[in-house]
Amino acid sequence: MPQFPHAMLVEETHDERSRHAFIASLREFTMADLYPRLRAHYREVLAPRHAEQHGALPQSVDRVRSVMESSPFYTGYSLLVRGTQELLWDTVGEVVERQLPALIEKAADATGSLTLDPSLPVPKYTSAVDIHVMPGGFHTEITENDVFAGALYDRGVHLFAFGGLGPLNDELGVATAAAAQRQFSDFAPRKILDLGCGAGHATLPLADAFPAAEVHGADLAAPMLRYAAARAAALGYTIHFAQQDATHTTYPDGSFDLIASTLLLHEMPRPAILALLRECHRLLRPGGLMVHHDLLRWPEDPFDAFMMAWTTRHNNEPYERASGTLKFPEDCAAAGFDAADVFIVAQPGAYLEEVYQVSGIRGARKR
Amino acid sequence: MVLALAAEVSALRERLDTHERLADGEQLPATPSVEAYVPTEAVEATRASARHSLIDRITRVLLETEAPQRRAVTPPDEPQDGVD
Repeated sequence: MPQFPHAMLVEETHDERSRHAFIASLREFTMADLYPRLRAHYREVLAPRHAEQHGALPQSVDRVRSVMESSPFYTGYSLLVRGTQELLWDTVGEVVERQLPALIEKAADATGSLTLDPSLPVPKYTSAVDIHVMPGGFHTEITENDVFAGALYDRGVHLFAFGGLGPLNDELGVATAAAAQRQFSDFAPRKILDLGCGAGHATLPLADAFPAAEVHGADLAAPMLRYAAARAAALGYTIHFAQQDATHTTYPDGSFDLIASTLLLHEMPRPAILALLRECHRLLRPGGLMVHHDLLRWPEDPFDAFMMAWTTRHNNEPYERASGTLKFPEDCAAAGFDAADVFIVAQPGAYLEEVYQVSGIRGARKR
Repeated sequence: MVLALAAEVSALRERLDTHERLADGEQLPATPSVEAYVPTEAVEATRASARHSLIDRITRVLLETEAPQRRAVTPPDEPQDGVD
């Protein structure tokens, strides 16, 4: 499914389009073809062989690890997936660099609402690693008024998902908004905040779901926010973007009726997630709702758990497990919510639903 | 290195395909018309299939580390025609 050519999306020459199409095909091959083969190889060959030699199937993640790491097929799979990831950023990055001055100019001319805070420190858990192996991560600025990371991520994630996130890369955000709507049919938030909004892929669907609401997007990364504001304006949305740390923002107490995040928590260590939950409690009005769309639980099957941690080991997502092992009712209660108001729902279209079936939405309402 | 080279081979093949399709339409393929060429859905599907074939060939060595062992556990009455 082609990406929607909004005004901030990079333009491609004939050959750039072909290289990008090849990378999307590689991604599709590794996920839709190679991964099921790897799974079958483990189930049909490696695990039975282990049972033959040791009298039992591998029972722990560590045991699966030793089995997998001695498999040339797994090693080759890992090399191919990691190699594709590096090629993706490198190839798209070249296209973005070529157009960066023009993109910066377009972003500067855009009419979006944007508040940056250059004094905001980038926490170490974000700055210490290039998340997703994306060079510079989300926050690095390579030039003045930079939008590089936003432009790179917007095009790159579309190829990463081989189009599966939809023409606007928004299907996970649509699922987040739908979960909020479905949970409380009479819910009509007046003011909404999307935490870790990035390029705004999950922010715009909140505006679509609740058209009467004033929608805000907060993120640590200035290059993402500049891009997000210009992209939203190009698509005809009025969203208020601001550079904020989701664990301690500058919004006044009780500012929002709905606070959402989509695939944010799994990039944060547990202490930061707990601080974020406390901040949500402070920012919500009574009756307000928070919804976090992320890993709902860590897989129990040792093979699935081992493979779930592939991105931790090889895709620079060191905290992925922290969100998967949250004790959500207890952790929300510690943040000030009533555990009875906590819900965990599966939502069609949620993250990794097809592959691991551990996705879902977690939320809580403030009394 | 191999993946980047393969991406370039794929891009070159598609550029050649564009040239041939434009020439088939009796248009002299100059750079502007090549750059402006937008494949139809049918052409894109053909190209996607060609990309997947190229990827299959590039990854043959990897796939064969797995396939013989899977064949060994395939019941003998099933066809054993290599990579599925």
